[in-house]
Amino acid sequence: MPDLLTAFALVAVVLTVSALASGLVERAPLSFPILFLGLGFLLGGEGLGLLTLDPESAALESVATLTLALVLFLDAVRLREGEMRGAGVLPMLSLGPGTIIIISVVAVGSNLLLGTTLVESLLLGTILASTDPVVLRDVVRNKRIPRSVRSALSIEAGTNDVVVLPILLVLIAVANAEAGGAAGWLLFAGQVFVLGPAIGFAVGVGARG
Amino acid sequence: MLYAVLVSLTVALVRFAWVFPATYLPRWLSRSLRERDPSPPWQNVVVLSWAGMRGVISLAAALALPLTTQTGAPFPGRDLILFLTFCVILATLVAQGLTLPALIRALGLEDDGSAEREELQGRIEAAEAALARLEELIEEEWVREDTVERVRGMYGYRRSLFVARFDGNDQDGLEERSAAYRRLVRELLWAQRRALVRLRDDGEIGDEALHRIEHDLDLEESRLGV
Repeated sequence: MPDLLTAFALVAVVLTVSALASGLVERAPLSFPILFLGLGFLLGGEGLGLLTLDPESAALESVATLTLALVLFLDAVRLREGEMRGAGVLPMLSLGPGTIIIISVVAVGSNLLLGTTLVESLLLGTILASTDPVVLRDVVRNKRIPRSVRSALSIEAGTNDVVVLPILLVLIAVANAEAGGAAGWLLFAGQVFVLGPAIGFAVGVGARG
Repeated sequence: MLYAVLVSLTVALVRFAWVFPATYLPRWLSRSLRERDPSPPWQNVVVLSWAGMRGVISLAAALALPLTTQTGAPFPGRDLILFLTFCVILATLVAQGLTLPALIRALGLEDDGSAEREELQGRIEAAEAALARLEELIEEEWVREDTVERVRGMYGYRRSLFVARFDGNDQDGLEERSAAYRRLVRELLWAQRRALVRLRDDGEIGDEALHRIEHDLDLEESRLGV
């Protein structure tokens, strides 16, 4: 991890370059995530070598946690209740069975292929279950794709985290052996399923009023 | 590396394996659903299945796994999970993301114009709402009769133009009339701009006044697009 000033300078450079390239992104079959990926590769150890990051670094873990919180928050804010109701059964299916199928198939596959433990396999499946609203934004704007497909995709990407995240938190807690005994688990379940949603709901209502 | 490819393939294939039944099975089982919302063409479902790109959520979730457990031991499988997540994101983002436009072309999906139709429908309803409100306000003492006539003509014309576009039936040559009107107004806007620049160059008005008036003229011109 470079020092803070270098990190900010690199972020600034990346953002400036992407802003300048936005015209290109509009016309070419590119999306911003692909552009960022390319720039990251260019700056990283295999490219210009300006930046080396250790996936073990605690700073990266914090940045990732913050990013996750931000993305989930934005998803929730953008969700339109009316759009969900008009979209038929697909969102319900993608939320329930779709996500569960992905998690279990990937988990079973990784267990058989890689010999991962039960918790590791389920963690991998859960992490890979959610589609990305940011990447899909370009698809969702493409007018050649029928509108029903576009709205199904955006609803799916916007909501599947709801199913994925609690599973992820529970799995992390299991792997962590965080909660001890029945009381500990009860407390944990209360945090994830009652306290968390309640705080989110309160923030939403507060922001509205 | 082989495992990474296999996991990416699994992720992509499972999506096909559940999206197809999820689309067709409920409609096959329930007649009322089938009648209310008929099955989409298979091309739509292929696009829906292909567009399962993984990205920042997966990446952030993987990186947010704790480094160590409560006991201080390394978190089980963190490196492997991170590596596989990176690979799947790369594979879906690059392979599926970059090929999606080509897939859409290959499947022959076209813009069905539903977005434009919705927009036109909105414009028609808006023009009708304006006309209805105008009729309500006619009795007010502050509403002048000649203004009512002018405004009614304008909104009536807009409504007819949008209805003609919506129906794809322009018998009265409204588009042509509209194009001629736009051309005329553009000429007038340019005459105004030239006059303003001349005033500025002669020192009669300042830059600030020029920019404010130009801004208004620009807004007027951008409205002409409709």
